[in-house]
Amino acid sequence: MIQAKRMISRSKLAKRGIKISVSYLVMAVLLLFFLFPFFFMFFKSLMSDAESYSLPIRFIPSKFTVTAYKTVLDASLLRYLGNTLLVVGFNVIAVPLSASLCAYGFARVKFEGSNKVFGIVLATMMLPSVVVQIPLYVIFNMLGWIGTLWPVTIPNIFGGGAVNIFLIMQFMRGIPKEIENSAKIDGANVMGIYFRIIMPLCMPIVLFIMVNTFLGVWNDFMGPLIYLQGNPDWYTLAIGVYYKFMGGLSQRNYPNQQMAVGVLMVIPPSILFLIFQNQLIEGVTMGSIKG
Amino acid sequence: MIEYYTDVYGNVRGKRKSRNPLKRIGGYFKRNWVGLLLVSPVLLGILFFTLVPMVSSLYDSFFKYDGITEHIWNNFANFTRPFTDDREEFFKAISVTFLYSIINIPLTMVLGYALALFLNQKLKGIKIIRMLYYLPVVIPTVIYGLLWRNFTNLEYGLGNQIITSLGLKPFPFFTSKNTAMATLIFLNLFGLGGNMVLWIASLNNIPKELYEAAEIEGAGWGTKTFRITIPMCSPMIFYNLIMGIIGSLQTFGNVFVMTGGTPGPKNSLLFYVMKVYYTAFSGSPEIGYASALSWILFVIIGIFTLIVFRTSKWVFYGEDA
Amino acid sequence: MKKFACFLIAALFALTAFATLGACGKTSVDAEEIPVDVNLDVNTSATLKMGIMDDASEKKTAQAFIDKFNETYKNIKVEIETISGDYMQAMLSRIKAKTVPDIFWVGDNNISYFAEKKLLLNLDRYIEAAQFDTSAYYTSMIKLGQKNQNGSQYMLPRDYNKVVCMYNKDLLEDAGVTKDSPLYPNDDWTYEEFLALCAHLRANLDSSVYPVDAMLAWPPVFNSFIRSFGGELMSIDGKPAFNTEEAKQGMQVMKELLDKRYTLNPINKTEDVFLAGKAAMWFTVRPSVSNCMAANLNINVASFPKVGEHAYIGAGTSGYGISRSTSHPNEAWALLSFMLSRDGQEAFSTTGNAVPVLRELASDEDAVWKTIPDSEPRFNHSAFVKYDERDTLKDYLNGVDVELYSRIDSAMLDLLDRYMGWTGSAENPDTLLPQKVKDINKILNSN
Repeated sequence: MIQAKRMISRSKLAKRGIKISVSYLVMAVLLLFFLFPFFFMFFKSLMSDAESYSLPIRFIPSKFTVTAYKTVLDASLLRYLGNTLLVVGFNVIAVPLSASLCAYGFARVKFEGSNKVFGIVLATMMLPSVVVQIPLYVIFNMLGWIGTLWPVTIPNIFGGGAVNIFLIMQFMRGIPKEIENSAKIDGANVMGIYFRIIMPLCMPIVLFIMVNTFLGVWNDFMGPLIYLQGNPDWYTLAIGVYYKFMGGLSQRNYPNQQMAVGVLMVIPPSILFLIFQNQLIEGVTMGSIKG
Repeated sequence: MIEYYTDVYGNVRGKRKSRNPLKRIGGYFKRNWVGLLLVSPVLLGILFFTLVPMVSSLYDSFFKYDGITEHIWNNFANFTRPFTDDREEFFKAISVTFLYSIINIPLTMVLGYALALFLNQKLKGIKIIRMLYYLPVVIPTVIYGLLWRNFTNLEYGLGNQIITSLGLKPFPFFTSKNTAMATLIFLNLFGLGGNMVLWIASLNNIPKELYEAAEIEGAGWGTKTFRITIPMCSPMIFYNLIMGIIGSLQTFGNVFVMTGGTPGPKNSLLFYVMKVYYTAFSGSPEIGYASALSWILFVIIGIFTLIVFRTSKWVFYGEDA
Repeated sequence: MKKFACFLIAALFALTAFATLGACGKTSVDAEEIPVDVNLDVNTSATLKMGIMDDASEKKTAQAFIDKFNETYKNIKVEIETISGDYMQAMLSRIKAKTVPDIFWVGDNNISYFAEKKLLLNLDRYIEAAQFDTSAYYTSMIKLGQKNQNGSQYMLPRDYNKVVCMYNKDLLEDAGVTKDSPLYPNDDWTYEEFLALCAHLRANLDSSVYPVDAMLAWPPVFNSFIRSFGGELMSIDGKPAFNTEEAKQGMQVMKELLDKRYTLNPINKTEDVFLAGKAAMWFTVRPSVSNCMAANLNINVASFPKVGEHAYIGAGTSGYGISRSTSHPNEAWALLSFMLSRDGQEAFSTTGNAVPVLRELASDEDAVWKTIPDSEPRFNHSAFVKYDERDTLKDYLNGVDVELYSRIDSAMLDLLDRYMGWTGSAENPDTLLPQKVKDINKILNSN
């Protein structure tokens, strides 16, 4: 009997073992696929200047060199990084704070016609941004903001984007009313409830939005291109790097340097993703499941 | 006349309605000031940074306007032109955009789901693997475009080196109208990681008890998938669908970078927003017509979103909803 | 709710009105109405904004100009403003925001449009008052600064860019073509000689290396081919004119280059083919020299071969124009004319990346631009300035309404694509050409 039981568990174990190894195998194959663009970028960044644009295009460098990184890493890049961190830092705080406050207004406090007003807010996502760019430029210019960091920060105080409000609203709907009510009985006011009860409960989705904001700001290209124009002192990484290594009219652009920049720019968001993976995954969930 | 409203604390209250409109507006603010105050940032923001530009573009759309000289009234020609002498390009843009959306939205959703299912196992190192799958999503757009342009280069690209070394004929990628769209959709698959994260999140949130109960009753894989997983994930599907519609119909930046700013061979990648862009910022800009085109797209997206919202009965919002 | 919506809409309109008023609040200046003063006092003080392309070397040259200019006009402060991103988009934003720089960079493609839209100041009055001698410059380039290349001057060119045939000496040597070979590229070669070299290279070079990157989708090349055989794409009065034997001949000659695999398909669009040593020759302009040097190529240049009966050579330029809304047109003219002076042109050509438009400097043997590439003492610099009587400009838009420029331009590329089969198989000219004539007439009639 005992023998037989052991046999079964052994065969079960073996089956599980096979399943795991097959899983790993498939994962490895898929990994090759997903990592391909990254490796392409990585290997190209380790080529010498001449080899990086030689034809036919090579995948693995004939000789590994870090000249591209040496050229790319200079004082101006640090300056761009500083600016980017400034913008990122501001937005990562401002966006979730503003969005959650508004979401609180729409989802919990409510007012007459709140649904309709929210409909308008959502609708604004649907107009292609190309066409509002020029009027927006005019507004920012009137405010004297062109060439400064204001256009890429201040507007985010105002609601932090319809998508984020929508996400937090969905999340808030899942928070039981009773918690709020008991606080009311204890005499807490609206803001008290928001800061002491709602906000802490919303942390997962807030964290998700923070990480997303980070990624969005880190890679944002169009905004800085239009609004920071002509003022290299305030260039963010995405735009600074573009002018330095990609947009030049007269000087030669080297693919190895471009890709080195790419590799450097991928590092911070990936680390962030790795650290906050659990929160990210929990964050989205509750928001949309409990509507 | 009694008007009912919900006060700050969620209690329903009734109030006599005044006949004086000023008093009525005043009353409205008196009753709702807390909520209005809370949402005022977004209202102001939208007013300043979205609605004013939107109204300005709506105004432009009724005129022949080049962005430089004055507005010239042209009897709604900007709105009839897509259906008359610009018919060919307009419908080309519409068909390219819709073809892309119809293939791309379900494809990324299904494959993202499959990927999430696969990566939702409890295995050693799974977190690192998820991060690595996610990696292509964080590559900056400009670099991403350069990279794929390099890869798909007809004669010297790595793509065709691999294909020809397998003994196959070189693939034209972005240089033939027959393959440009397929290439674009294929290259999009590298961004599945972003979709995958959302799905894993949804999957993790389904109570394990549901599956256990189903297993006791002898439910198979199919039943579990269609009776538990998919209904429980429906809010995520819904969210993805809305975002997919809005995003796909506005496709522009990534394609623009990959094709080097061209609409592809024989306009095979002339996405709608790209057409708007060319109309607005060519050597002879037509801001008025571009604005009209944007508003047409706005209406199209609005209609689709509305349809999806109106038919969203299948979305399961938990027991209390 | 209704009241709230009403309130919202009212507020919105109030705001929009405010915004539009704000933008229009500044009274616009028309520089045409400001009296011309070409003998500006050297102590005049003013602040000028100068718009240039966002590029490191552009900034360097602009600064060199300005420093030199300030030696004379000490109190005119010139602020550099970079125009970045899409040029048209950036300009439109500035126009709307009323922040167009007083003097700005402009390419030859935009002159007629900007002139028509009253964005650029007509320079004729200044040229006349200052007795500015335009004959000191390359005539074709001066023409490029005029509306429809044949009218008032709106831009003054800064450099002289003509198409030359650049060649990779190492690749020629690989194929057994040495300096003393009759096949070797030279300034007087005919198209047949060019083809003979192509044929030789095709036969003697690796099949992955092209004899030439002929840049067939580039107006200076395709237009000069068609013009050289006596054809034209659009007539001077703006009608499609390519359905003729002459134009067909020009297109056919280009098609043969492609069919015989002498040149690569322009759809490839890799500017790097020549730089990567995968093409032995390249139809290009002076600014590419520095890139070739950076790529360590062993190069030299020869004139563009003599094609057809006219043997035209494509040419183009860019330069600076004065904004019509500037309130300092006289100061701007002082700066502009300084840029075209010998001092200004010298400052400009220190980058070595451009041929000055001033004839005496271009032909000067000791001019700075001729020291680059300095590694090659016998570099054939004269190819960049030789045969200016054969210059032909991108002229097929001159008779067309400016509003239709970009649509006609893309229709032309579509025509060439389908004729030569860039993105599909080549179509039968007998059906293609009449059909394209019809298409283009439709565009012309749509306005």
